[in-house]
Amino acid sequence: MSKLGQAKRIIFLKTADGQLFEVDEPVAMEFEIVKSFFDENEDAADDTVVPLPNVSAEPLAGIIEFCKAHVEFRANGAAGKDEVKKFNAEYIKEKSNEQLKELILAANYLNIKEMLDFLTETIANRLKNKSVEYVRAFFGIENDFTPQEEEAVRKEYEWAFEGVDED
Amino acid sequence: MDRMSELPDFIIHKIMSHLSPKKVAQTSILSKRWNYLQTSFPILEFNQNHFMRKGRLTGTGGVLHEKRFVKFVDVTLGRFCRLEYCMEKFRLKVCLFNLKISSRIDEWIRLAVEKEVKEFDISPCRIYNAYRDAVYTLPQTIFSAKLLTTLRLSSCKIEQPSDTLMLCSLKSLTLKGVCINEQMVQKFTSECPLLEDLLICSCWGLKHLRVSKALKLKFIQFHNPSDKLVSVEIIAPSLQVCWLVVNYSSRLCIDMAGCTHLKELHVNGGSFTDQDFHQLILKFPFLEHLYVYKSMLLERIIISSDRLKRLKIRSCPGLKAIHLDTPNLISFSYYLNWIPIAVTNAPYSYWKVSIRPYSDLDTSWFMNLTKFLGVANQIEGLFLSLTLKKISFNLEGVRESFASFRCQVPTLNLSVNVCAGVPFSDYRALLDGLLWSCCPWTLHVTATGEDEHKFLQWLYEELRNRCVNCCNSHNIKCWRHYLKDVKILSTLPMEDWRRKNRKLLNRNDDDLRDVWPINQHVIMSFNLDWVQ
Repeated sequence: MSKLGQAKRIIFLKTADGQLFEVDEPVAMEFEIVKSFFDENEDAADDTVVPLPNVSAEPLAGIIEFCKAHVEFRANGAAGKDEVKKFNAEYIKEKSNEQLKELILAANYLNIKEMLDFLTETIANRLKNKSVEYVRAFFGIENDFTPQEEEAVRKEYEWAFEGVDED
Repeated sequence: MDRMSELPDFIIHKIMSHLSPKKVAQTSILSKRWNYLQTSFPILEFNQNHFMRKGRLTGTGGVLHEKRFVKFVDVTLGRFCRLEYCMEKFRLKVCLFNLKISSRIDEWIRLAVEKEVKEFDISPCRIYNAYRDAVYTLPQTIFSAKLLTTLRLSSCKIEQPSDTLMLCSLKSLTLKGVCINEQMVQKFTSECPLLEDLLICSCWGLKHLRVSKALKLKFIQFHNPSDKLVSVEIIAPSLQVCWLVVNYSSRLCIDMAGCTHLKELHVNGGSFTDQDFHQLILKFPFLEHLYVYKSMLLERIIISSDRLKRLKIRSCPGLKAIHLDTPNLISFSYYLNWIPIAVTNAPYSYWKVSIRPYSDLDTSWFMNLTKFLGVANQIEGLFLSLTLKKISFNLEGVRESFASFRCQVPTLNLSVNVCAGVPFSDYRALLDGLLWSCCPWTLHVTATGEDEHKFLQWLYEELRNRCVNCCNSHNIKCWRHYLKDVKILSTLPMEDWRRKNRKLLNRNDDDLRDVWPINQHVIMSFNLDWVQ
């Protein structure tokens, strides 16, 4: 589509809360959902707006920031190096649990593999050494066990709740 | 309803894959959905350690824990196997192995193979001495795991099957402390067409290592310090990296003629003669990295290659001379007790040199050091670890051999052990010799104890209060005449210094540890300003 010497193609994305984003093509193509939109609509006009009804502006802005940086890292051959780790650590440092949840829901909907790998690891790190109640609250899990059922499960996994040494 | 509950199973499994097995097990209690997610989690990890309390390993306590463990594995595995999922990983760590549990392990392995497991990690360890004689023998079913890509085994026995192996997806094989014979190793390498990585560490029963017809093999790491090993023969045309860590006192027959594409070779031990060594190296025209450790007989290293980029030589006590014709060498790192003669054509290389001399230091030692360093284009760092016993240095002896006083080593790192009772003034010869041969801009000195701290103070005074009523009738004068100024840059505890200088030195942690063991050391850094 975009030929040599031609201006960079811009992809238009519209969020659930009605905001329009202009994203460079290589960054937008990181989103599997956008990629398949254009694969299925090959003759879509260049100014086609891709609707993203399950994502709002705030997480999308965060995701674009992440993907843009990673597309650049790959272009510079820096993938897997320390500067990537440093960027990732900085990126996630200021994010609250709520923001993190919004990000993973959006990344899941947009289907971005690399970002999902990173976010799942981040979430796991935040859940280490946390109580069962904390984990329930984090994922919004409603305990649908009866006390008897819960007791039975707890008994079966007794070793995991004992104060035994980690390996 | 919370939107987080919309996350699909595979994402939750991804999160779980970053949690410890214990934490994963705990998720079973969160809710019914999570209980199912935990049951269907395709990474099954069982560690008997989790089932034991301290001090109750043997006797009835041990038996009880073992029962609990076996039952848990049986139930969990059984439940997973009733689901329509393939197994990603099966990891089993048994620390109290006995023959009773052996048939259960066989069954677990059979189930995992049935569930098309991709990664196996099995260690029926014998670390507790109650059942020292028992060794687990791997069941033959494991050889029919067609989708297995990674196999890691430790502390067990592998018996050679008569049939061909069906491990047609296996890419990575790790054997640690495994009882295996040479035919079986050969079988693995020749019958697993996709094998890329092979690690064999402290395995017993091997007299010969034979790797043949391993067409895709890229990486071999072989650790076998036993003196029973006689020969190593590797035919692997795609091999890129090879580590051989073998006994350093027994002479080994190594044939790697079939590895012409090797890029990186680490040899530790092996007791090579000069001839053996050079014949081996000649087989690798594409070699870029060469690391030679603990080669006891080696006297000369002669390398002529325009591919070689990195060379590291360590603990080769007989080494007398190094000849390098390596125009593209980038780094040369040398760690030894004495100073060899070096002849090099390596114009772009950076040298890192660590010397811990055994002998007393005299004028000829300092001259040898100067000559050795003199052939280097650039010395990135010189590390000297000295026990200050007898040191002598006579400038008269070197004035004739060297034309001028010049900076050779921008950074000199000195670690000293002061001998009790020797007056510090005796160490003037050390300063005379070192500053004359190195003339560093930066001097880092490590002080380890009280005496060394006093030495540091003395050193600083000596550098500051220079008396220049000497060398009057000579063209080449001692260092005192050339030093304009000395400043203390910093005095840091070891840890801080290392953190600050890591980038500067571009060495990793382990390397530094080798040079200086960590204690409550202090490192004092001086900036020396010389007359140009």
